[in-house]
Amino acid sequence: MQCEQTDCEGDVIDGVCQSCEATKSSSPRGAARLQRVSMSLQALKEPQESERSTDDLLRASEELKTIVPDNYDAWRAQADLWLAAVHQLETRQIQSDDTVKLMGVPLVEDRLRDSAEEALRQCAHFASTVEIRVSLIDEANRIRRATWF
Amino acid sequence: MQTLVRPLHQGVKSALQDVTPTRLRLLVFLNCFCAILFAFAAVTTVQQHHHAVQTVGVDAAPSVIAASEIKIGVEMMDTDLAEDLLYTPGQQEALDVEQDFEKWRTLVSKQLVIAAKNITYGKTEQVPIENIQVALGQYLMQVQNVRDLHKAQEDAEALPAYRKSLETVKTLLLPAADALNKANADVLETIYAEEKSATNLSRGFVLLTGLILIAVLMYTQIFLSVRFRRRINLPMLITTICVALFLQKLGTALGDNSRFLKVAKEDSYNSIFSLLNARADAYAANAAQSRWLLDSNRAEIYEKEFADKAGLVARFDRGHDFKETLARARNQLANNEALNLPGLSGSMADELANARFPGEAQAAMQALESFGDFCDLESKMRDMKSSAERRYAMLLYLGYRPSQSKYAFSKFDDALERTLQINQDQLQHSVDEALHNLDGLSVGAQLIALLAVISTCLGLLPRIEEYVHCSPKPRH
Repeated sequence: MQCEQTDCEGDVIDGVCQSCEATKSSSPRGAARLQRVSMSLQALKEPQESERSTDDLLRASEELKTIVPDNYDAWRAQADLWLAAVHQLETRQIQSDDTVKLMGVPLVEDRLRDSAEEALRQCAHFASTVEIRVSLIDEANRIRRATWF
Repeated sequence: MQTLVRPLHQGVKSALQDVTPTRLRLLVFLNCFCAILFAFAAVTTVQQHHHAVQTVGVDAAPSVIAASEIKIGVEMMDTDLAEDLLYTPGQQEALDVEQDFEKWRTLVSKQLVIAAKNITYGKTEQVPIENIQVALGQYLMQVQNVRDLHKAQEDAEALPAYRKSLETVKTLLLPAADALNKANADVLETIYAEEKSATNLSRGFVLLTGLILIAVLMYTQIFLSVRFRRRINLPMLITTICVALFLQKLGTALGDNSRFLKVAKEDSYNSIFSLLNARADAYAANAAQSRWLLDSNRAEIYEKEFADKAGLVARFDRGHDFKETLARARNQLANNEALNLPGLSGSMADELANARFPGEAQAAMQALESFGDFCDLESKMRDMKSSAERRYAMLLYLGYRPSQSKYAFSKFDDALERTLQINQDQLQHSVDEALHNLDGLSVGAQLIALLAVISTCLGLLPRIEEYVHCSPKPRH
């Protein structure tokens, strides 16, 4: 039996589409992929003397696109992707380029900040404690672009 | 108990640890508390200033003036009665004097009503007013008796009857008028001294609370700007500007109010008090002069009375006199210097030292000059002791020609009246301005506090909400 979701040709076994299940971050396969992406994003945040390319960010973005964010770690990973990009833009390791898109967001500082803020706020919904939630909203407010009001 | 203390302890601890939502809640509380404290301080201070002006300008000063007018009126009624006895019954001058008596009687009655309507300090005012009312009826009956005896050509009996009426004046009417005067003057001085320091203190406190409110609002603004990367919190900004403008207005209005109160009390009222005293004492001296002519058996007593009362108006130390003092005063005025007249004491000296308003010093100097002429004529009159000279003395006292006593006294009285009018106009103006200055400040302070509370809620609650619902806020 085939999955009824559009753009999915996965097989349905015991009422569960094997292909769709694999994309969920809460599934064992999804979690493993997420951990891999998270580690690569941590490496991207670390300082580097030479100029970076956007390839690493794009690779991480492609990987994350295949994961449906339905838990804390998935939203955190999305936020980390955009935070890493913002960090690299701030430190002039990469240049702004609105033709390059990370998870559909152009590589422009303000747009990345907006998305990172939104992801962190989404992440806060899944926070296990009040302290973590408060620190996530603080981080969202710290990363958001400065506005007048 | 422990369950109550624990959340409080945790709240304080987290506030000190700079946990954003707790810090935001603390700022909401702090802003509201400071706004309410500011409104309370402002309303209290405005009420205190209002009370001070009300006491000085509305409650006490008119009663002091009314009491002095009663005293002057009674002195004049006595003078008119004595002069009435100096004329032959039916003579035109006697009729004029009787009319003048009626004028003063009416004035006393009117001032008594004014004083009664303005009773503010209970029995200390009510009792003297009642005593005046009772004594006035008794005095008028005695006056009628004196007149009847005089018209019946029974002057031998008229004089003792006059002495009896004089006793009523001296033992009942004047002490009661003095008591009424003192009751209001004392309260005025006490309250002014109290309110002066209290209003300065409360004005300082209200300005301090206003500055604290502005500081807290500005800290909130900076906190939000740094912590939330939102440069301006519009409600807080509007409130900060409104509080700053209102504080400036409040400070100016309270400062102006204190200045007007100072002008009303120290510049106007003190002068009025000195002038009314000068007037009452001059009228008493004038009455003593008329009695000196009427009752030659007691001439020495009345002569001393004249000297005492005239000395209360203007007294000179050895080496100083009217001429020298007036020349010095004119010289100082011509050089735009403050009047400093050594060797002169008494009510007129107090007034000249406190002359502040345009034309006041000139009018007071004219009064002093005329009083000098009046005293000169009186000393001439005293030298006429024989019965032939006594007749000339009567002409000198009763005549209105420039070289006669009544003329000099009228000139003195006119100049004094002008000086009084200048000060009374300034008193009224200062009191009106002082009260007008406070209009709307209490309501304004309450509205500002309400605005601060509302803007704090509008400005901070959405930020607190972020930590409760985690929802992204719409972009601006």
